[in-house]
Amino acid sequence: MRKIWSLLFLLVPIMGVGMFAMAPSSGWWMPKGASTYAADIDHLFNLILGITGVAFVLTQGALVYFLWRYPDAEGRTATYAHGNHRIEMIWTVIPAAILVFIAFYQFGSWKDIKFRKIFAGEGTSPMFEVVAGQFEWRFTYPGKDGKLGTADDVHSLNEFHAPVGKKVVFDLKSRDVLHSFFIPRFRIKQDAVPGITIPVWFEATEEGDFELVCAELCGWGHYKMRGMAHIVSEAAFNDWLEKTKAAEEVFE
Amino acid sequence: MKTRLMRGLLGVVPPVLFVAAALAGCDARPARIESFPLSPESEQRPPDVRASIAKAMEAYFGTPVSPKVPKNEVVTGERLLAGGDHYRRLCLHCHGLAGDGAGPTAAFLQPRPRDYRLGTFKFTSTAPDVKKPTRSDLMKTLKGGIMYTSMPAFGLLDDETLESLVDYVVFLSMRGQFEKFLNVDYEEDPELFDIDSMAESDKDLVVSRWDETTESVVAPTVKPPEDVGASIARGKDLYLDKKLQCLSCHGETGRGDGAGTDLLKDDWGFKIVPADLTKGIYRGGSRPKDLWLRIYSGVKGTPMPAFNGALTPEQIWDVVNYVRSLAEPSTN
Amino acid sequence: MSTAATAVAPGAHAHATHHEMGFFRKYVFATDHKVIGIQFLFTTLIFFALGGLLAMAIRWQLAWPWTEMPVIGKMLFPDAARQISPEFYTMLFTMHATVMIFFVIIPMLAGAFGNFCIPLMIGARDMAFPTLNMMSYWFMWPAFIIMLASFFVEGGAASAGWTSYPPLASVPSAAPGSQGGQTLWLASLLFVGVSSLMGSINYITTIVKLRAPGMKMFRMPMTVWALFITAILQAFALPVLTAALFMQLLDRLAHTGFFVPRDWVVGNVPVQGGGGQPILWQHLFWFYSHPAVYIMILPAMGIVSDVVATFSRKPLFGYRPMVYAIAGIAGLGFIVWGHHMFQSGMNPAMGMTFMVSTMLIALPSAIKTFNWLGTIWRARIQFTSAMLFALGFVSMFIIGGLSGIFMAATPVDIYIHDTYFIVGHIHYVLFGSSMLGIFAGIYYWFPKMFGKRMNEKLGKIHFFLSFITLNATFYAMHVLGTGGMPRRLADPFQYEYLEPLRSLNTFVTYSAFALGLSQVLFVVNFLGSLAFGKRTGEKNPWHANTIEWTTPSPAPHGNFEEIPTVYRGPYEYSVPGEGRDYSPQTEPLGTTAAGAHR
Repeated sequence: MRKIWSLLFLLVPIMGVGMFAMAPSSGWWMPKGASTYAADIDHLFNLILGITGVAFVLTQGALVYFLWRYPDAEGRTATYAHGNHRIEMIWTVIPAAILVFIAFYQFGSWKDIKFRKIFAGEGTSPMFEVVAGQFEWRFTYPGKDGKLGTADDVHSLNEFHAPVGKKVVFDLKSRDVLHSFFIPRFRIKQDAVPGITIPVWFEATEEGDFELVCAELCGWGHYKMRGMAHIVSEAAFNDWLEKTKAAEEVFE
Repeated sequence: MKTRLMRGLLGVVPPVLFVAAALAGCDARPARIESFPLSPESEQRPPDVRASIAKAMEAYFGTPVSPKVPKNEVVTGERLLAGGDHYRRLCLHCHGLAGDGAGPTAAFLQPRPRDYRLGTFKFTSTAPDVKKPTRSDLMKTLKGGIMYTSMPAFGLLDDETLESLVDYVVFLSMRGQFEKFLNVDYEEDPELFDIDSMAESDKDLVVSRWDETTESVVAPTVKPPEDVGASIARGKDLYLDKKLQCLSCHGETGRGDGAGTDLLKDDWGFKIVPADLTKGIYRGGSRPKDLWLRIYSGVKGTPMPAFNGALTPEQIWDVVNYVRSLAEPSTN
Repeated sequence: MSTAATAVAPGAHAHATHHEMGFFRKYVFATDHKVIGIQFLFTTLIFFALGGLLAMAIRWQLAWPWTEMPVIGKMLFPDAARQISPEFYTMLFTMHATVMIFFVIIPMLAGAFGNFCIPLMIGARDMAFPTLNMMSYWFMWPAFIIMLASFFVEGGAASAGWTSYPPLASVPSAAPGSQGGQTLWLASLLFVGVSSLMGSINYITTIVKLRAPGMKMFRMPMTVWALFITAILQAFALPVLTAALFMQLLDRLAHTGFFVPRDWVVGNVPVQGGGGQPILWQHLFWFYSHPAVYIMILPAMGIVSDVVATFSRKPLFGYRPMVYAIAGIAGLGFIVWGHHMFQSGMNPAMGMTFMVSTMLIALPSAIKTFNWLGTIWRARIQFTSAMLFALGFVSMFIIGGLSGIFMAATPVDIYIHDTYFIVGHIHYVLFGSSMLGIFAGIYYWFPKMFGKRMNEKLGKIHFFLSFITLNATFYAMHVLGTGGMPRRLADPFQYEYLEPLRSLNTFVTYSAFALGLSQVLFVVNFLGSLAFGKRTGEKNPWHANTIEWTTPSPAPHGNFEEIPTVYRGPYEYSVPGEGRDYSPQTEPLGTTAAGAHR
C-alpha cells in the first residue's frame, strides 16, 4: 500500500520528461528560428535542457527508488548515519563545476547579442528607430538624407520592413512607460526604457512575416501591442521605402 | 458517526471536485445580451414613453444577439452579427455596448473614446456641413488608429473583420442617433409625442444623413505648390491673420495656448484643447491631404471650424505647409 | 511576565503566578507567541482563499477570453456584455501575486511558523520581546485593510504588476490602478515591512539569547536555523524595499523625480516631477525582492528537513552542510538580483556577473536536495500527510530549481524572460515548494497547536489531489513559455504564433480549477478537526525529538513547567542500542538502554 506513494512520485519524472518529449511534435515548441542568433540560443536552451534533464531524472529517480525501497515495515531499522563527508564534497564540487561551465560557456553568445561595442561598432547608424508607446510601435526610417528627425523620414505603424540576410541595427525607445520588443522567431527581446535609447540588432535568415509582441507590462492594452516584421529582399525593401514615403505625401 | 461522515466525504468529494472542475468550462461563452441599454435620456422618460422608445429601437435596429439595420446605402445587415462579435472582443470595453463611449475602460482615458450616438465623427473626408464620415474614413481610423490616443491601430486585422467593424460602428451610430431624435421629438412637445409616426421619419432622417456621405466627399482640387519655402511664408501670414483667428486658439507660436482656451468643450461635453502644432501629432492623419481636409472641413464636433469659405484651396496648402513647418523633432 | 533576563538559568520559575487575562489580552492583543502564531495562521489562510479566487479568474480569462465570467461578470460588468475589461485583468494578476506573496507566504512562514515554533523549539517561554511580537501581528492589519480598501477606490486596486515598475505604476495616467490604488498598495506594503522587521528583530534576539541550557546553535532544529537566517535576510533586505516604496510614494505625491524622466507625458497627461530613471526602481525593488523569494522558501526548507527526519526515523543527512547551505543561499541571495533585469536595459556586462552568481546559487539548493535524499536513503519512511507534503516539496523543488538554470542563462533568458516559463518556475517554487512545505508544517504541528490531530485520510487525499493538479497546472506552463507565450496578456490569442498552444493553455485552466477545488479538502479538514476533533492530549504523537514535543498539547502559556536542558542534537533517531527509534533532545545520554551517543 505504501509503495503506491512511490508510484505517485514516479509520475513526476514520467510527466516531466514525457511532456518535453512530446511537445515538439504537438506543435508546442519554440517557433522555428529565423535569425542568425536564434540557432545559438536554441542550442544553449537544448544544452541546458539536456543537463537539467539528466539531473532531473537522476534525482527524481533516487527519490522514487528510496520511497519504494524504504517504507516503514515490521522489523526494519533505519540506518543511523549523520552524513558522509566525502559524498558531500563530491556532490558539491561536481554540480559547481557544471554550473560554472554553463555560465562561462554562454558569455560569448551574450556579448555577441547585447554588447553594442561588438554589434554596432564605430560609425554604425541605425537602420530605423522604434518608439514604443501605449499601445503601438512606431517605426521611423531616415530618408535619403540618412538622418532621423528630418522631413524625408519614412514612418510606419506597428509593421516594419527589413532586408533579409543583412545585419539590421536599430534604436529602441519608449515614449511613455516600459515596453519590450520581442520577436519570438528571431529570439530577440529588449526592454524599451523611457529616457534611454537602446541599440538592438538582428539578422534575419529567411523572408516572411514575423510577429512582434510586447513583453513588458505596459497597461491595459499590453496584450494588443501586436506588430509585424516583414523581411524581404533588399530590392523589395527599398521599393517599400519609396512607396511608403509616397503614400505619406498623399495630397489628393 | 464521525468516521462514517469522514468516509463519506472521502468517497464523494474527490470525484465531485473533478466533475465540478470539468463542468466549469462548459459554460464559458460570450454572454447573450438580449437587449441594448437605453440612453440616459430615454431612461428619464415616463414608463410608457420609455417602453415605446425601447420597442421602436428594437423594431428598427434589433438587439445585440440579432442586430438589423434599416435599408441604407452605407451598411447592409449581412455582417452585423460578425461585426458585433468582433466589436465585443476588440472595442466594447472602451466604446461601450451601445457605442456610447462609456465602456469600463473609458473613464480612465484621455481623450475619451468616441460616443457614436451623436452621429458626429471628427476626422472625415466629407463636406463641412456633413457630420458623418465615409466608410473609407472609418476604415482609415480603424487601420491607423488615432495618433497618441487610446484608439489603437487595427491594421493587422484582415479586411473582412475590418469591414464588419465599420458596418457595426455605423449601425451603432445610426441606432444611437435615432434614439436621440426620438428624445428630441419628445422634448419638443411631450403632449404631441406620437412615436409611431415620428419613429419612421426620424429613421428616415438618420438614414438620409448617412446616405449623403457617399455624395459629399471632398478632396484638394489643386496640387500643393512647388516652392515650399514661399508657401510657408504665405501660410504664416494667413495663420497670423486677425480675420482667420488661427492664433486665438492655437497660439502665436502654435503651442495651442491661445487665450481662453481652457474653457473649450467639444460637442460631447468634454473639455477639449486646441492642438499643440509644435508636437507634430495629427490625430486625423499626418498626410498633407489629411491636414488640408482638417482645415477645409474643420474638425467636426469641435470648436475647430471649417475654412472652406474663408480660404482658397491654394491658401489652405500654404497654411498646411506652415503648420507642418511648426513641428519640432520630438524629445521623447 | 516574561523573564528575558534570566531565562537561560535552568528551572526558571513557571508561569503559575501570572494574573488572569481577559479575553482581549489572551486572544486578541495576545503577547503569547503561540497565540500570535495562530492568529497569523488563520488570517493568512483567509488571504490564501482570496488569492486563489483571483487566480481562478485569471485562468478563466486566459482559457476563454472575453466570455461571460461567472459571478464577476454580472456583478462588475453588467453593461459590458458581462465580460471583464482589459484593465481589470491587469489588476487581477497584480493583486493575486501581491496577496499571495505579502499576505500569505511571507506571513505564514515567518509570522505563523516563526512565532509558533521558535520559542518552543529552543526551550524558551516566549519571544524576547512579546509586546513587540504582538505589534508585529497587529501592524499587519492596517496593511490588510488598506490593501482591501484599494479594490474600492476610483481606478480600482493596483494594476501595474506586483513588481510595480515605474512609470506604469507611478504615473496615475498610465493605468487606472495607478491612481489611488497604487498609493494604497505602497502604503500597505510599508506596514507589511514594518511588521516583518519587528518580527525579525524578535526572532534573532530570541534565538541568540533565549536558548535553553545545552541548546547549542548546532543543536537547533533546521526549522529554527532557517527562520533565524531568514530573519537576518529580512532585516537586511527590507530597508531597501521600504526606501523604494517611499521613493515611489514621493514621486506620486510630492512630485519628486526618482523614476520618471524629466518633462514626461503619459496618456496625454504631463507628469509632474521627473528627472529620474525607471531602471533605478528595478534595482531597488529586486534588491529586496530577490532575497524575498528566499525568505519565502528557506523556512519551508527548514520545516521539510524536520518533517523528513522525523518520519524517516533517521538523522537528517548532513546537518551542518544543510545549515551552511541555508547560509549560502541567503548570502548569495544578495548578489543575484540582476537576473530579474537581464533584458531591462541595464549595462549588459552585468548580465555576465549576475549569470555567474545566479548559477552558483543553484549549488546550495542542490546540496540541500541531495541531503534530503540522503535522509530517506535506508530510512523507515512513515507516509503521514506531513511527510507526504514534505516529500512533495523535495520533488517539486527539484523542478523549480532546475528550471531556474534556464533563466539564469542570460542568452536563453532573452527568449524566456516574461513568458510563461517564468510563471511555471515561480509556481513550482512558491506553490510546489513553499506551499507544500507550509501544508507539511500545518499537518505536523496542528496537534501541538490545538491538541487535536487533523484527519490523516483526508490529508492524504488532499496531498494526492494537490500533487497531481499542481503538476498538471504548472508543468505545462514551462512548455507554454518555451512556445513563446508571454505573461500578463489578457488575451494571448491575438497572436497567430500562439494558436497551437491553445489546447495546452485550456488544459492548464482546467487543472487550475481542480487545484483550487482540492484545497477545499484542506479547509474542511482544518476547520472540521478544530471543531470536531477529539482532544487526545498526546504530547508527542509523531515520536519526534525536538523540544516542543515534550510539552502538553496544546502547549500551555509559558510553554514549559521547567525550562528543559538539552543534551542532544535534534535528529537522534534510530540510535543503535537505545531501545526505541527516537531519542528526544531533552533526554540525557545513557539514560536509555546501553550505549552513549552524541
